Amino acid sequence: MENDYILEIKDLSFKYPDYPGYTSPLLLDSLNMSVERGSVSLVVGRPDSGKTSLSRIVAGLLPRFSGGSIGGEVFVDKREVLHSKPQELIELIGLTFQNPEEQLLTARCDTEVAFPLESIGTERETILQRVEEALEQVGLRDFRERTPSSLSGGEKKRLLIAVLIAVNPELWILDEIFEELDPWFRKRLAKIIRSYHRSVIVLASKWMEIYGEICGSFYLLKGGKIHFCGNSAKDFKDVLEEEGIILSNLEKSTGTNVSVPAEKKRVLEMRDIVFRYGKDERNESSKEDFELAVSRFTIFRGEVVSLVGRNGSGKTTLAKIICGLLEPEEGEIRIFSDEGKDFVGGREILNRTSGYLFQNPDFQIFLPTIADELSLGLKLMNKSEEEINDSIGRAIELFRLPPPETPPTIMGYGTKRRLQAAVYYLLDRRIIIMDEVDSGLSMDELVEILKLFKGKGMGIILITHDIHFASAVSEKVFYMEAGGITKVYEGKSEIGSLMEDIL
Amino acid sequence: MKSVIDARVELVLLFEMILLFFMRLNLAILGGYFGLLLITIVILYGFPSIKTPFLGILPILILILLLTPIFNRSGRMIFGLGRFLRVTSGGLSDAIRYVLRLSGITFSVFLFYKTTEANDVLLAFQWFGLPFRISLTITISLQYIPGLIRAYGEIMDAHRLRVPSMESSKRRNNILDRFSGKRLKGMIPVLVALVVYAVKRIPTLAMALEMRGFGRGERRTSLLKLETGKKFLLDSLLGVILSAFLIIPIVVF
Repeated sequence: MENDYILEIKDLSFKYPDYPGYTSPLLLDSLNMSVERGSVSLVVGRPDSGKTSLSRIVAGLLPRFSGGSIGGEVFVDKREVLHSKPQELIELIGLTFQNPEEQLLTARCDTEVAFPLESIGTERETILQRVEEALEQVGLRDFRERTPSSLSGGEKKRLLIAVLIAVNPELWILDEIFEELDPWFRKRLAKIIRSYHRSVIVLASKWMEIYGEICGSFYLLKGGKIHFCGNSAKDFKDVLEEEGIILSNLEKSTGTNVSVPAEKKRVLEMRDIVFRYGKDERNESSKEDFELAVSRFTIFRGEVVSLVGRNGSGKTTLAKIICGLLEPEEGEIRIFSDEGKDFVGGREILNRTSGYLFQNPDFQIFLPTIADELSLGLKLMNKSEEEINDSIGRAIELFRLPPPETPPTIMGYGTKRRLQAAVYYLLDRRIIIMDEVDSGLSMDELVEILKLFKGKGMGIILITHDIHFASAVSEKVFYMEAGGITKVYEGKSEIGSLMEDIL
Repeated sequence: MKSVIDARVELVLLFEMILLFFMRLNLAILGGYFGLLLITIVILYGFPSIKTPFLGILPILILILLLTPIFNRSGRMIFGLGRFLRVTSGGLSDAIRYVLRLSGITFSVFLFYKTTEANDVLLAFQWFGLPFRISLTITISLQYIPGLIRAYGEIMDAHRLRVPSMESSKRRNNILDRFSGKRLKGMIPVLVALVVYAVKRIPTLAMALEMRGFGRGERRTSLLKLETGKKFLLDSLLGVILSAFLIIPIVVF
């Protein structure tokens, strides 16, 4: 009997257009893939391996919106999609983007979910019913009239899932959907995926245990080709370990060759901090009632701490106070020098003491070449040309960046994240905050970056939803809830119980 | 946010306000309209709410006040310094008129968007017969502005941490320093990042629209609809009264 495939890709090759002085590499090279109807498949690939491009080709978006050259054939439910318009495929293929902000169009959550149903002429009564059901499924029913832009990153992803549920296409493609989601909603999403019985492809750049629970077929995207790795999660994890995408002993990996000072020296300490969003802050009205209250928070030299908690619990607000982007109404922040002297850190001092790796690297990267990006801070520090060139060379090697003359605008998301990290590495900041750092970087890259920062004695603050990662690499984990630190996990055994507590 | 008055009525009132501020009216009447507009905003949203739109147009207002008297030398001379610097009654009155015009239009649009939900604006445009494609384009473009303002804030934050010297808190509070050459030069990287962000949004926005079925040939339905019941009639009546209130001073004076 002939196999019933929902997706068949035959000899697919794709390359983005070349730019003056830059020849784009062949991203997908005679790629073949078949996905059975009703299956849940996982495609893992390193950042910039072409996962997002592949998903957009299947959805008919590329090369329509990017240009470039393409060859081969793609069939979804026996329909050739390479020459179809995306709007004709919405009942067949549903795709959620890695960055949810790119996909949100309207001014209310309910109209966002309703938009595709309106496009296909669904009757109003049916739209009302489907919108209600979809928002209920993702726990956003009370947010019906909220502006999508006022939602947190995780909530925005939940809204995109609600759109999928409402349309319920044959094939769901979920690009890095589990990132930024609360652990409890990850479980909920797994339940949704199982209950809708659709064909689902999950794209990811690193392994999460939940994939083993929901996925039945495993693929590795490497060198522009898809490698089928069987149906066993355990075997697939072995493959990922060989590839360096999973690290067998994360704690050990981050601990080796890192010069953590024997004597614990404080870098920053904050006490009795109270912060409220004012009405004229650029933050949305939904945050007007939010109050952050932290009685004590200390970070030591070379220490890695994690801030974990559900979306909207105050992790980013706390991090922005630490680096001086927000000013608390009450409380004191003290900065400690290596000699042990301490002084009150005002906003400007905190700005100079800390670095912040924003989730969107485009906000921090703006110069024509990698060399310009890396040298900007060094020039302001009055370093000599020789020192600057040496530093650029070192940073490119350590952070595995492309040649110095490469324009950052054409680099992939993961490479931009590494460039962001390299910039702060050269700036010698005492504290580094990495917001949703697990997004766009593979585990070995992330560990490598942590090692480099630790080696410089920086205090590292991670904001993450990946509890496994947080517990493996952190010396302390701060659990945040409703604007406060409700529990601090310190030491191996306490941190070990974090996962159970949270779930 | 629910629309305060029916979006169709508000759209007509907005059109009237823009028209009024473009008319060459007596300065006192123009000032009166502007004053009433400001009072309405302050009553509804408090005094701090006018800060953001005002600061947004402040550089242009300053330029208008400085340059208009230089180029318009009609009327009697009020003040003069040397051959070139002469402020005349005509120049001064035009400068005030242009300031009131720009501020009036800005605050009218500001009030419209504060009191009207974006979806209702889309429906109102369609109610007046504008095709969905054009209505949606206008609505998305207008929604884009707050998005860009948010992005600008985040980019400023990101740059403040990378290049902390670009803005200190003392300088932030100094209004004259906001427009100094050094500061404007420091703004270039921020603007470059903002332009890159905005340009990159164009194809992704187009992708998102097509992924939601925009551009399909079928008849389009709608989740929300503008009611034509009692509220619409009352709002329309209010609109007629407000329109009359706006037109009477022009006719009388």
